Amino acid sequence: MRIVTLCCTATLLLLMSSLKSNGQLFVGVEGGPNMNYLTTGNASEPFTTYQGMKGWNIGIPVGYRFFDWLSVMATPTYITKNYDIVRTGFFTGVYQKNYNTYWQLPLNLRFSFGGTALRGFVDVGGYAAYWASGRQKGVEANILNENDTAYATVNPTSVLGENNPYSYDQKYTFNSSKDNRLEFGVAAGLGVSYELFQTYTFYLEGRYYRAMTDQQKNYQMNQAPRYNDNFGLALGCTVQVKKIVSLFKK
Amino acid sequence: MKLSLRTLSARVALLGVLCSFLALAGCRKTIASSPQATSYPGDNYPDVFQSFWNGMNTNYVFWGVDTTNWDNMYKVYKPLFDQLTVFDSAHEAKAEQYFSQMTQGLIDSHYTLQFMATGNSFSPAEYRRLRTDPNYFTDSTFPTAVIDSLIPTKYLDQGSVVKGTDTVSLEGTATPFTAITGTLGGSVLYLYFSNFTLSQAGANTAPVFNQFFTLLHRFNSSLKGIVIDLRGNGGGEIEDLDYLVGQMVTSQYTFGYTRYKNGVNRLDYSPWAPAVVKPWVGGSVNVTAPIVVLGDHLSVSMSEITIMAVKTLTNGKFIGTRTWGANGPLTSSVYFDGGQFTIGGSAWGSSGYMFVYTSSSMFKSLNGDIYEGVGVPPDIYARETTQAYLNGHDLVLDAAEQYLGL
Repeated sequence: MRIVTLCCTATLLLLMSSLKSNGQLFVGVEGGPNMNYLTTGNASEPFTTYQGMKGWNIGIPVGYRFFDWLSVMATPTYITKNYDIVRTGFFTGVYQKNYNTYWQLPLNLRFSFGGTALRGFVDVGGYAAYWASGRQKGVEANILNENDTAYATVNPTSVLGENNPYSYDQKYTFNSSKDNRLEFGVAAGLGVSYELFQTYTFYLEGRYYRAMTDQQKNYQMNQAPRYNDNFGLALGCTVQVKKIVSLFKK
Repeated sequence: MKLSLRTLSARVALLGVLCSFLALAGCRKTIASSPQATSYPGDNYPDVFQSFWNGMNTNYVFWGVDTTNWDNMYKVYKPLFDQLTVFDSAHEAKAEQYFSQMTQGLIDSHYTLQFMATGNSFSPAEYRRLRTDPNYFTDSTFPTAVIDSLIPTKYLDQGSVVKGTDTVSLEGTATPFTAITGTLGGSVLYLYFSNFTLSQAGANTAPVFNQFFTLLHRFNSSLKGIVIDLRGNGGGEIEDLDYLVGQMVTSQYTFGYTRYKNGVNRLDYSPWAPAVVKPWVGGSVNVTAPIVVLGDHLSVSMSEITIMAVKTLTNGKFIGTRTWGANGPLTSSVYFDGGQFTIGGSAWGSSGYMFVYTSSSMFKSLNGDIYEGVGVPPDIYARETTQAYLNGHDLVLDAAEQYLGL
């Protein structure tokens, strides 16, 4: 959390110093869908797959353009990183959708290229994120809620035929021994932008956030790590701060 | 001078950043989760040890509350198993000793290691109880002495007694199944059975349950109470919970929670699911008279679950002594991620090297307490003694009768 605070402070300082120097500071808003995958090892879990889930993100990009080809950008973002655990075969019907939200601060270098108005760009950088909340929705077989009509039978065709299903949709309670709520990773993006009236820039970007830190604390030997891999789209618009300032001065 | 991405410096900068990015992106920890415990070759002791240690990480359901330092067990015992280079009786004895030492502090009171090569077994709960009380299993006159003579002759109303014994299959083992019913003081129904295999009641025991449930359904409104005697009951089939307790309620209720492993690491758990009793599908009545359940230090597993289910009822009361402490429900390993597992590959035959008998799920009572390893405490403490038995008294049943005003 301290690192996220530091990053936010750095962004604010960047904003303030740029205002003073009246440089090419820009600020805006962006949002879009994403697809998140949990990368882990579960070879010892039979009939279990980890599947990606859709989510979304919204952010406030703040950047400073050093040259027409190079900018630095920080985008405080609220992002969901969801994934699904799905059982198959005899366990079909058992699943758990994990909805996780993060406050995330990517810090990127933007290399842009192309014409005056329509340009392409590449973003490369890193991010810090704080796992803010979680929600779990799913179905599990309930061992102490037997299917009584199966009394005295020995060969159920599915686990939910033997045990009644328990459906849940509840807030995830963090476990301080297990959960690592700070996430650091690298970020990359590829997009196109269009500048209008030399003031507004609209852009569409495909992004990849690759977590480099485990979602769990290192609490046991031979632990199977868990990493978020998030692929997203961002549609956004930025505006040059000095243009806004000059509007107010008039 | 105007800089563009076409300039050398810009390209160098981009290349440098991209290289740094790629270098960083490769810095994740290796994703190498352990295979299933049964998938290890297991034809040598170090492999068997590794398989067991990993299997415990994945399948043991009490890591969230068990204080055993399992990582430390790895550090201490891996070098010792590495020294066991040959399979022979001396090394096998050493291996069994090491496995027992590793597990002797585990709280799971179902937990048993069964060594297939020698037929030996080790139960940490039994080990701990005998260490603190060498007479733990022999200082009770219950059930044999009390059931065979005292209760049917002195306590139960003459002419009301129905009893019988069948042989049933309990986890694949032929087991004697005894059941007795009758009335106390003309208005209290009494039921004893030795284990939870009610669905297998045969020619001799089925009449016992028929009598009990017939009287329960027919005379419910005039009953002064019900006594279910689970002393010495070693547990059995979960399905019996609704069949027994579910015939005494007309609406579903929650008496605790269970959760399972849902990942390969020790603290990967599913959410808590409510443990419920449902009215029996074949019919039930709403018992408003007191329901007393008797239990003791040899009431295990399904007995303890039933005791907690009865305790939760507003008219339920548990009289006796603290139970054994194995209340994490256990079922076949095919149903849940955690629980029982076998280690040792084909070199050991179809049974493998060792079978690890352990709970499939963790149980939490309605008040939030987890009684695994410590047992369910009684509402009213009472314990039968040999001296009292010899004097013609069952002190626990006496306490029940006193509670019921008989």
